[in-house]
Amino acid sequence: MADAQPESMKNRKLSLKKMEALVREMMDSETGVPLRRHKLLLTAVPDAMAGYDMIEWLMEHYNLDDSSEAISLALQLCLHCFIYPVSESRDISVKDDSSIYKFHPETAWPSRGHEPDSRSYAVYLVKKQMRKDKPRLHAIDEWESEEHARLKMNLSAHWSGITVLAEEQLKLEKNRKKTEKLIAESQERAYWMVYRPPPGAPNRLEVPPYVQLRQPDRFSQRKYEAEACLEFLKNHVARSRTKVSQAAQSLVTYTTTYAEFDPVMTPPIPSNPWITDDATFWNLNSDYVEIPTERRVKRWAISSCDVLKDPTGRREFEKYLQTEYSHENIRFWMACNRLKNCTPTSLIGMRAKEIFE
Amino acid sequence: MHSPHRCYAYSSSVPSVASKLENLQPLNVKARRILKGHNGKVLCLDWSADKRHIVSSSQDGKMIIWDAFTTNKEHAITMPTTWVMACAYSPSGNQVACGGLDNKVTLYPLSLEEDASSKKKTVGVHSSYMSCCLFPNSDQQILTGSGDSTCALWDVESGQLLQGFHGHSGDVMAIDLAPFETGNTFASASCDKTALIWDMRTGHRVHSFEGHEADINSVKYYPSGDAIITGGDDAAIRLFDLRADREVACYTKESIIFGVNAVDFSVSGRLIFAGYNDYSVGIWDTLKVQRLATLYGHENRVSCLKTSPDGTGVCTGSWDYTLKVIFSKTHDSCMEHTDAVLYLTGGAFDPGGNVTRKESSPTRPAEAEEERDSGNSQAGFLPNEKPDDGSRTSTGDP
Repeated sequence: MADAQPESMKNRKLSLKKMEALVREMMDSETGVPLRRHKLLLTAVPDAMAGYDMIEWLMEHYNLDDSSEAISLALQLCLHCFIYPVSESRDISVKDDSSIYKFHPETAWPSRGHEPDSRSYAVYLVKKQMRKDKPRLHAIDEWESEEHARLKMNLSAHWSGITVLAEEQLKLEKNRKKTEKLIAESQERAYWMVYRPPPGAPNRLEVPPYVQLRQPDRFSQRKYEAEACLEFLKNHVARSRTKVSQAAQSLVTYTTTYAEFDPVMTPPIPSNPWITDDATFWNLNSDYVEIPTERRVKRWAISSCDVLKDPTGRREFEKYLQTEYSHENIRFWMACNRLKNCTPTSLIGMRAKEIFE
Repeated sequence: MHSPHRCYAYSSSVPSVASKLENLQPLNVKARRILKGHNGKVLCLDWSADKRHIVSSSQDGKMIIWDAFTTNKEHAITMPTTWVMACAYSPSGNQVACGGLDNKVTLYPLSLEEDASSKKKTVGVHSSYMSCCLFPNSDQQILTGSGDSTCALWDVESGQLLQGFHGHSGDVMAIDLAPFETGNTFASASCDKTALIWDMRTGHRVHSFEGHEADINSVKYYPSGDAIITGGDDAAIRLFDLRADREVACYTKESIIFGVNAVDFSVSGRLIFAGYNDYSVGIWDTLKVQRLATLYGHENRVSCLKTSPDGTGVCTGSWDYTLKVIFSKTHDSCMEHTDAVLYLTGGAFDPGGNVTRKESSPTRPAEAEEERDSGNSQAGFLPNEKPDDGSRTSTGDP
């Protein structure tokens, strides 16, 4: 099935495949996350993972020093329908504590190409509507009743069957033990939370429209492209390359030179406006200033590009050239730049003439 | 089958050359502004040259111009299309360009007197969606990348196609302009798993980089112009050097399994900021090839991210309808040493993660205010972040 899909869809599945592999390791009876009987409220849930066990396992598995990455990962597993929290809460969350989690059955995993059908969703919604117990937990949201109404219209032919099915399932549930009921309800809720999330909530399985538009590999065979390709490859073979160590050295040199001007590495003077809510830094460093800051002048010393990039630097440079009677050079350069960057095409001829004169 | 994170055998040259450099101090990272106002997934953002204005575009066809410093909305423009995947500020700050599923690049002049949409101008049309656009140092030209696997340079005034760039065999997802000094080249990243460097004048490819195992979503020049980084769906960020003409570093970990949507550098190039599909923002040391910090602040995937022109802040946009401006600084650069420093992962973000549905609705007023002066993480589901909450609130007051 995967082969029939365009390349880009397969790529989207990369993370799902990785998650599946991870979940399989978590499920391993020997090296996986320990499954035990855990207490929740007054019931004991068998074969479940405790939050702390799961987080610890993930941290060990990936050699993490910090639990928040493991927690985030576990949350993603929940949001991708691999595991679910057993709880009486409507939200999906993962905590590094004694909260408990179980694995969804393999058939529900999105990596197995699972697609939910709207009939079982209808059953779920009808059941939700019929329930009288725990009103807070089972309350039907506005968007859900809209969904309900929509489904009722679309599936009107099957609706009586759906209602009967829902009633039967509810009846069955009543006879179940409390633990079983808790697990089944948690799973059902978590499942639909992933496959039919509320509007505006993250929908992990959503594929953006532009991805759907993508076509499988297409390579246009136009002639000039083939020629361009050949030309490129010729140049490619002939090109001289520096050693990686040399290249790396120049990257290092660059960062060391500019570290002083990087607000992350060196605090701006007087302060970073985003931190202090004080815009003085920007005012001192606006495009044209009377007295540039010391650091700004220092930057001009690095290269002529740094002078010319900075409007104040350019002005000062022009002043200097004026004393040397050679400012016509920079004037010409500036005029050319203006021509290149700021002139509408239709005026280029006229402006070029102006420069010439 | 190859290993899940294949990296070329470059015998870890970059870190070994960089070994003389001192390790960076732990980073202090914090969100300082939350921009709320979009009613759809935020897909793209761009900084104005004035270092405080931001344009952002979203899935519902809205484009908003923010004064990020005050968090005020200055303009809101409704586009006649959904999924506005690209937006860009012109160098003069007088106009913005955008486009998306409408296949067009449209210009909107920004003025206080008139409604921006009345003076809009369509400059170019692609044969598929437009995924990215930028002004190449000039208000008179626009460079675009498209799902039709081409890039194109348009003349703003006449709407003429000045140069087409053919060579990718998959959708172009991102482009980036070479820095000022290095002249007329730009980089493009594509779903064909390659990144190309183009000569803007001739329309020819100059470099081609392979290495990613899935779609590349983002590309950015190293500030010196000598290298590029790319981020892709294979959960890896790769550094390609132009003079060595090959991949020289790969930023990934086994525990990172979600794709990278956006990458950018700090102004010196030392740090890489990356937005991931698992709602996190990762910060890497470019030269030591180590991850320094991870922030969990957004409640859905981080779709776009950009460093401000002067590097004082980084803006992130997310599918959770919000944008955030974060800053980071190294510990030893704190003037105020009394502060407890937030080590690694960002508890200072509000606690993303516990998927409380109501909170993802973008209609809580005064939220930005909260973030601005409090920053106290309501620990949420991140239990390890509880310590030193109170002391962090004063960070930044010298």
